[in-house]
Amino acid sequence: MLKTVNSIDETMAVGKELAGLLRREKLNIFLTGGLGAGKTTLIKGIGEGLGIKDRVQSPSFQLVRKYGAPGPGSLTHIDLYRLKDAREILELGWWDLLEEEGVTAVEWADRAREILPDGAVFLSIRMLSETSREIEYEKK
Amino acid sequence: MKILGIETSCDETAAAVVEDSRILSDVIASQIDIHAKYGGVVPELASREHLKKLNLITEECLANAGLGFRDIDGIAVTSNPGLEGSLLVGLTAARTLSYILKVPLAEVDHLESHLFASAFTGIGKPPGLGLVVSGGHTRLVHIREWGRYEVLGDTRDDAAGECFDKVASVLGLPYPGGPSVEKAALSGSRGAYRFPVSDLGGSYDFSYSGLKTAVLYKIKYDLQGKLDGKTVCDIAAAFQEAALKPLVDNTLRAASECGAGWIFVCGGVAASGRLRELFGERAGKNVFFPDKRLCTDNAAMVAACGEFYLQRR
Repeated sequence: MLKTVNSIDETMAVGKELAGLLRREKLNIFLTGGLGAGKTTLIKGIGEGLGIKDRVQSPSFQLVRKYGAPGPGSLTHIDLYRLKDAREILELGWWDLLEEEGVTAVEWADRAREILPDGAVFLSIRMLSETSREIEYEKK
Repeated sequence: MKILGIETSCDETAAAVVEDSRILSDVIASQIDIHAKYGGVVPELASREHLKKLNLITEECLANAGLGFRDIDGIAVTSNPGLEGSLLVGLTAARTLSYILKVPLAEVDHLESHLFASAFTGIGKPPGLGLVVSGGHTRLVHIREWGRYEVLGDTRDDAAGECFDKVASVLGLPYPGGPSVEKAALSGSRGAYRFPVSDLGGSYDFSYSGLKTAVLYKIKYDLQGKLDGKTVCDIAAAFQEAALKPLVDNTLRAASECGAGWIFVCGGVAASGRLRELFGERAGKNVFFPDKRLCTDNAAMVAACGEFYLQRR
């Protein structure tokens, strides 16, 4: 499924809508797209859709940030930007993080290509112009 | 009280001894070399490095001050926020030492510790205003008194230091981005490009995602990825101005609105010479910075924060 968005607000809305469809089920979401594509923005929308009150900030530096009370409806936000290969990602506690209840959303998921489990939502964002993005949604 | 401070929350393994806001010893095993290879902080690598280095660093720290473990009156350690595995190395060491030496332990907040780097600057009593600006944080805090804070503003997306790192990587400049952008900017023209300065209305918040995207877009599309030396320097100079301006604007506006007597700017980005210049031009002697060595993560600030809490007990 493809969707074109033309602003940050529209990117947020896609995330929010997606979270609305989840109905508190356990889900892993893997995001790809270059720097500035809007991966964090999309996850901010997911957070909003889950009813997370805290502000979702980029986890590039901390690598992992958790939001909401542990359990269904919580958000585990991971950023693999600084990690280079599967070995480093595994050492982050990768499988445990993917087992967290609620949504686990992973930015730069392409860095974990060999260790991405199925049964997840794959979102890839492509920059069309400074403000427009094409978001591809795939469940596999 | 002689306080041993321990810091392992992110990429630095550090130990320091502080007494009455004086640094008796301060040792930082910078891991920059390991991380330069990876363009950033590698967590488990970092935690393994912490584990390997912490005992050596602590012993060296005590030896530098001419002290033994039995001379220590209290321990302070960073407990949050940070990378779980890395924090655990410091916490385990600190709890063990506190137990064996039978001295009190203060587990302190990393951001509050950054504010306590002011203990070494001769700053006056609160109320004051603190700006913590680093790779992971961009936060404006009203310090009503020590231990009593109000967060006035925070980043809505990326931290300022993270933005410097990401823009540096696109410009082909080395990690960490702050110093390498500043160096390139010295040979560039600030007016050569115009990047958006975030303006969030009356809020004290910050936003760096839009600026990052604007710079990337400029390079990728307008310049078709063609970056010569002069262009890199010009972009660095123009970007740096756009990135630093909101830090100064928000902080000065908040300072005048809360009637803060002083401003303390800390965290890795506080080492920026250009940021110091901009604050100096507009706020003169009311603005304080730590020594550059105490801007990035260190254990002296942790010990100073711990000293405050242990003396209050």
